[in-house]
Amino acid sequence: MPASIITIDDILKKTADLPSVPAAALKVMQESESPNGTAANVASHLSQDQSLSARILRLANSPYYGLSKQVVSLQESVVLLGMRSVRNLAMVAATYPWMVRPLKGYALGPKEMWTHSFGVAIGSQLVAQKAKLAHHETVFLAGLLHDLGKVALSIWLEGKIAAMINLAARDNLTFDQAEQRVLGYDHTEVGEHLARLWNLPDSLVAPIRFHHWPNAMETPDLTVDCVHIGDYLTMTMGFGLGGDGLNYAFHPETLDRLHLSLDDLDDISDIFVTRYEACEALFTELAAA
Amino acid sequence: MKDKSEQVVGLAQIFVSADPCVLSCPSIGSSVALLGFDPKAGVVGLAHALLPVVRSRQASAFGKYVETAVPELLNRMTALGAEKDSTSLVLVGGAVSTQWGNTKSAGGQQLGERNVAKALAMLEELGGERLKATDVGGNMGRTLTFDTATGEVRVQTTGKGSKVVCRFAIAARSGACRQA
Repeated sequence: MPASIITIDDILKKTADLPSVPAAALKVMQESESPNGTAANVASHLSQDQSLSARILRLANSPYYGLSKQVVSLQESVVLLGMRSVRNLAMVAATYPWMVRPLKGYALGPKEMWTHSFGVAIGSQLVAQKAKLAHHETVFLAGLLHDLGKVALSIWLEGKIAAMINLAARDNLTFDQAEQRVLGYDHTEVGEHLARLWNLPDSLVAPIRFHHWPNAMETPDLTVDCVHIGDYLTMTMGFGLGGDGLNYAFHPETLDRLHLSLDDLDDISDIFVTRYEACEALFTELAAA
Repeated sequence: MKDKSEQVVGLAQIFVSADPCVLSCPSIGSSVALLGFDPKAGVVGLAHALLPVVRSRQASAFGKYVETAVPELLNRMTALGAEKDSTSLVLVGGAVSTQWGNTKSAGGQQLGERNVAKALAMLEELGGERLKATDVGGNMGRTLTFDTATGEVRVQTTGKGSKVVCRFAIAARSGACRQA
């Protein structure tokens, strides 16, 4: 029987410092998802946020993209990098300030939530690329945002982590099942509500809600499958492990749907560290600027 | 606050030293950290490997695989004067997910189990050094720390606190950490 008297609505209404995303970044996201989206419109939305605009231009001119000439306009940078790359950078910059905060409710120190989330973004994208999915840029963003609910829920779990771990161990529960037992809901449901509050597209809401139980979806979703595996890989690598540790279920059906094997996961892990270190340094520098 | 002489050993790295050190190996998930210490020679080494067997033959990637990290660690320690008879080892890590499906495609062992099994097999194969302590398995992340001045090997398990997994008998030493 759930012991909580705090509802998800309470959490969304009463949490101080509830994560938020600047309007310009949300508009860029909507534009990039629209079939009628244009580079000009993305650039126009970006230009409303000077800080974001400057970071996009710096990224476009960074050695990471290796462009042969200097990019001076936002529209040019969107054309050269692609709308989805620009959208991803905008969201990394928008989420970084609150992802680097410690989350005491999950026993995560400063920057550990960021380490985990960015790791899942990289890992999920590597899974999508290994499976030859065309939309791997969207998978990156889904990975970045997958644990959004923890950021909102953490403060309500402060002081409870040891009891949650003990409950999970005693009753053989995964950590999200322990959250369900104590609160009546888990961090994926809180994340889903927050994502809908932001009007995120369903393609991003689904991985937030189902990344621990991808088989619970009526129709399997390959983005969710990629994030499920990316999350697992990031946990095995120890990136941003909190009090919930690796206490989650792994669903191998996700591998079947993506036509991947366990050996493929070792291949991905093999390049994960190098890719993560290269990307994390670059994106952190730009996001923290 | 970190001690000035603390040396952090990250994923896929190998560190050895003949100088007094405080070593720290954070973020041990399914990976394994192998600590070696010869109190007689004052030589310490630590490897943090991610995968059990070699997937890339580049020398720069030796630390990434248990298969190459274990002999490389022991060879580097020997080069600094460590001897098999007086060297002891501590193996930490190899965490696993709580629930692991069993369909055809994923019938094998989890990464953490494979890493631990490979490390034990390598030590058996190489022979000589004594495995003094292990802290492996479970579903939590770990941080290993070792202070050559106290001989204390400590493992912090996220959300659960820390414990001393073993203590080497050593003569008191002090000084800065310097990689060989």
